[in-house]
Amino acid sequence: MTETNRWPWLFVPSVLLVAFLTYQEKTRLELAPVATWSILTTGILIVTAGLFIWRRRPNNRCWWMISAAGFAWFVGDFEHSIREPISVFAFSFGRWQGALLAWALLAYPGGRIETRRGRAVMVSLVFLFSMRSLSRLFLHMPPDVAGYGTTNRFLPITDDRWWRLVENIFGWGYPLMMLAVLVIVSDQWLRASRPGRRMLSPALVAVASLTAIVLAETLAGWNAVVGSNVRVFQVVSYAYVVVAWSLAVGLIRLRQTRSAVVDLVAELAGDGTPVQLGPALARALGDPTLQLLPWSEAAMAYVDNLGSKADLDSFGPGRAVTRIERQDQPVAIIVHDIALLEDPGLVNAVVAAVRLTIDNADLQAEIERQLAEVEASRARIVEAGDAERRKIERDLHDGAQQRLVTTALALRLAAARLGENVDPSTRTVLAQAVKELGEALDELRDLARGIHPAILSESGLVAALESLVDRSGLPVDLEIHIPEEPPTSIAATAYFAVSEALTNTLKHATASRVKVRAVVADGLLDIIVTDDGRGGATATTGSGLSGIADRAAAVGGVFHLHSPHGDGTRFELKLPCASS
Amino acid sequence: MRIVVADDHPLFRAGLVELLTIAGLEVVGQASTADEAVESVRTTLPDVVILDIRMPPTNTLEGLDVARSIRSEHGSDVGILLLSQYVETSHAVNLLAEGASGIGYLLKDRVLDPAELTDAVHRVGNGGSAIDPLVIENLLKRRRQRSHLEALTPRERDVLAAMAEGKSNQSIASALSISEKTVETVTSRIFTKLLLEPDPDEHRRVRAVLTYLQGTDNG
Repeated sequence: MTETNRWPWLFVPSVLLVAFLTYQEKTRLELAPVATWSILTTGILIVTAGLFIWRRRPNNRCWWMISAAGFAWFVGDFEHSIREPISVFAFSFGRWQGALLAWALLAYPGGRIETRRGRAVMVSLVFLFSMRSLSRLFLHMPPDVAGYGTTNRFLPITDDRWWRLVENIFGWGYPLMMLAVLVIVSDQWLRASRPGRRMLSPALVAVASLTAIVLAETLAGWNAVVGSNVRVFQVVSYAYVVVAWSLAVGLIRLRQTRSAVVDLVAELAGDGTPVQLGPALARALGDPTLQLLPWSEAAMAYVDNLGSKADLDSFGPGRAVTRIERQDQPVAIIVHDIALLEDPGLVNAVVAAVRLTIDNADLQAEIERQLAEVEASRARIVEAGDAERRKIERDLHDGAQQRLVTTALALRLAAARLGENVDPSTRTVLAQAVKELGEALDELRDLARGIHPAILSESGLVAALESLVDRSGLPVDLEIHIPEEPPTSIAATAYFAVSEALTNTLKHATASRVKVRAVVADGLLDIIVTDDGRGGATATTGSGLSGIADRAAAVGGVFHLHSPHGDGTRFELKLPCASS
Repeated sequence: MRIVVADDHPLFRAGLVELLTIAGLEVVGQASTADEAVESVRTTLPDVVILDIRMPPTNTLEGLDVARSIRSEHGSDVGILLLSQYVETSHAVNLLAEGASGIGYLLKDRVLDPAELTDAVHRVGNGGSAIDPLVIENLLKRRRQRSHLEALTPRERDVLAAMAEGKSNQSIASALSISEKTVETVTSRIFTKLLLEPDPDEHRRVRAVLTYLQGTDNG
């Protein structure tokens, strides 16, 4: 809430001041203290109801109508003020609280009078009250003798017939209009469905009270009521309080209906699939007959859950259709009780919630789709890389390696053909060439194995790991339990991870013992490489270890490195492995 | 001694054939695929077939399959010498699972040493074995932990490795530049240390040593 709309708090000191002035006035008039206190508490409670609504529903205009009614309540009490301008004003503008409360009633619950007849009644009421106030201001001629009221000093009219006419019209018109308000509100209530009635019932209490007040006032005559019986006066006073607070409580309950929307959003956020939307909406809006009909692109129509097209005109009386659209595209319609429209904010909130949910579900589906796509393509890249490595290895094997062996063999044969009668230096050169080729072959073999070990695709992970450990040049304890060959990409990841771990250990750890454990359990291939070296290994970007982490992630695995300085290193890799 | 050579690379095959011929061995058949190899062995019944481990059609481990089918068809009458660009201990272990007699498994580069090659061919042809030193090295390494191999002196270890390769006392002696008599003494000491029954038969001796090296017990 911003600074600017804090000013209604001024009502608190204002109403206390007015109450104090009223108290002084009534004390001066020597009114029974019980009656005085009724007047004060009634006015204060009505203003409080208005402020209460303002605090809880700041956007609902009912709050100021009710607060104003509270202040208006006090006005009439200054009719007998010794200060003439005050008594004239009080006499002219007393009892407006009835009109203001009727206004709030008709505007309930939205804060605006939505029906034409409601507006007509309200206009009539304002007209009646204005007529009365103006005629009291300008036409009234009180009897001087009684020392009661005041002398008309604005217009030179000596005949009081006009004033009496207006008073009579008001005397009949006001209760009639109030009966009209009763009829309107009751009719609204009778036509409403269950949720509608729940919303309107406070107004029904309020309108019944207000009508009772007005009828009591009219039948008994205002002055008679006040003068004759303090008890009756108290009942009437507190009836006003009942009117104001019924509306306040009703609006707060409306707020609770709104909070059902909040619950709805929360519920949808939890597991927001549009399938569950319908029932959730029905719960949130308290309308079990509510239907959510999604738009079907294929049918070019809204369809029910059996897939048949919905006829928008077939829902009958008492049903309303609220459309949900997004970027001018139809999304769904909600078919619900028409009474829910009496609080348009509620329906708007629900529509927004549904739209958000559908947006959210769409976005989530889109993100999941993209993520799945990215994961799949990442796995494909790894697989393609492996396939490429296999191909390079095979090309080296069948090409360069084979040619080098053949060439070396040819040189060997050339030396043999030359026989004994050849320059010994030629023989040495040939022998040297064969030796060089042999070393080239060794290097090429290591290179090819580093690219992709043939044994991995030929004999599987177990043999490949054993071979790796054989060639590592490290004292390794090997524990392997892999009853079934894992998928190719998993096996390759496991192999290269162990290879990288052993390389790392050999290069950096100065370890005396290394343990390699590769065990399949519960559908996971768990690979642990530990050493007792000096630790401090990190999987920094670009390092071989971070490559292992990336590879592991690409096949849906997890890589973990624990390498405190001076306390050995532990690589752990968990890979999903269908063959458990 | 009659030989069949099977390798899919024609130039290498030709070179190998020539090398063998120079060494006084008779090449009676050649093959470039696995099926041809089996067929050639069937028709010529050689003393030894030299097989490339990778051959068409799939270029993976055809050689091992061919070896297996020749072994089941001809028993140990036909010695089998597998050549490979890589030697893998697990292949050797598989190969030796059904016995070491008449089996050889060498790195392809070994053909560049004609003496070593012909020695191996002869051993395999005579029911012995020729296992690549790299395989033996790995077996020794695997076995060294928690075993009696720790008790061997370096010299004893060298002799054991040469024995495991399938070498005769004579070739061990010449390879290590010691007398055959010394080889015999060292051999019996090794057998004692490893708690193995001494066996004068060189072929059975290899078998015992390889079995020991492949064993998983702590003996």
